[in-house]
Amino acid sequence: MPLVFPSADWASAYRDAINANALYKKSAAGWDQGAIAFVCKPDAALGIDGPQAIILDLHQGACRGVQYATDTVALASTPFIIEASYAQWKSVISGQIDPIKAMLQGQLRLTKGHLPTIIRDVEGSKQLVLSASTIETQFLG
Amino acid sequence: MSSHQSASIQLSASAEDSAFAAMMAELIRANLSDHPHKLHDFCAMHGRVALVAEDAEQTITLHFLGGKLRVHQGLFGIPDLVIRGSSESLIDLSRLHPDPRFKFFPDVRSEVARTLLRALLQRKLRIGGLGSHLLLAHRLSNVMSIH
Repeated sequence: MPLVFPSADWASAYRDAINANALYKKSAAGWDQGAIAFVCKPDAALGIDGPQAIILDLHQGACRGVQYATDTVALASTPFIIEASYAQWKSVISGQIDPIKAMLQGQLRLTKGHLPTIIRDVEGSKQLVLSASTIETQFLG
Repeated sequence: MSSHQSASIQLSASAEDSAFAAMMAELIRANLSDHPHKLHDFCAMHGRVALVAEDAEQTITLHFLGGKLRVHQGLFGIPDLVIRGSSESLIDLSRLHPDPRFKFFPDVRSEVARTLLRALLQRKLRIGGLGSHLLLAHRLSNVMSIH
């Protein structure tokens, strides 16, 4: 059954998809820099009134936990934040656009965090995003 | 400019809306902050380097002015070096490790170096002007590298 993006159920499925991704496990084995949040910007036309965040607790190739947040308080302690509009997340999750290309085009933006650290682990970051494409997703609009 | 002075890295007005330009400026700024010894190379750089991310249809020009860097959207003037490739290849350039013994060269044993070599051989990554601007290319590789 398709899960609505974003939602708490989708976030839980995402955690499972990351942990099932052998390429992520291998490429992010050295990651010890903490959580990464994927934030979907508000979109009044879709009924998204505030930022929607999926905060992933990542450590050495595994996702230890996930939090779905609809306020910015939880983001204060998150070291890395990647932000995009709903339409852009939809393109990335559907596999229509490569996440690295999306970053160069400004469709995905690292709004918080040390860029060289993300680049050092770029393959892990790519696999992280690609894991989302394995979830049967129902998009708004 | 002495390498003891801080580097000046700015986006030109044309590049203010370019995510690629902002990313490269931030990358070089962070590299110089994390590895201050790279300032020596940065301050010695003079020339223009065009980076063309073909799949993303994004071009920027890095204009090095001896301790200053202006990042422009698109082609700005006549570049000394032109690096064309996929977004992934351009990002991989910043992941190259220097050879532990011969620091002028990248460590060809690393996976990222092998990937880039394959891209060069397959012409998926092309570097124009390398023959006449080898030193600029070496210094660029150093200031772009996160290592």
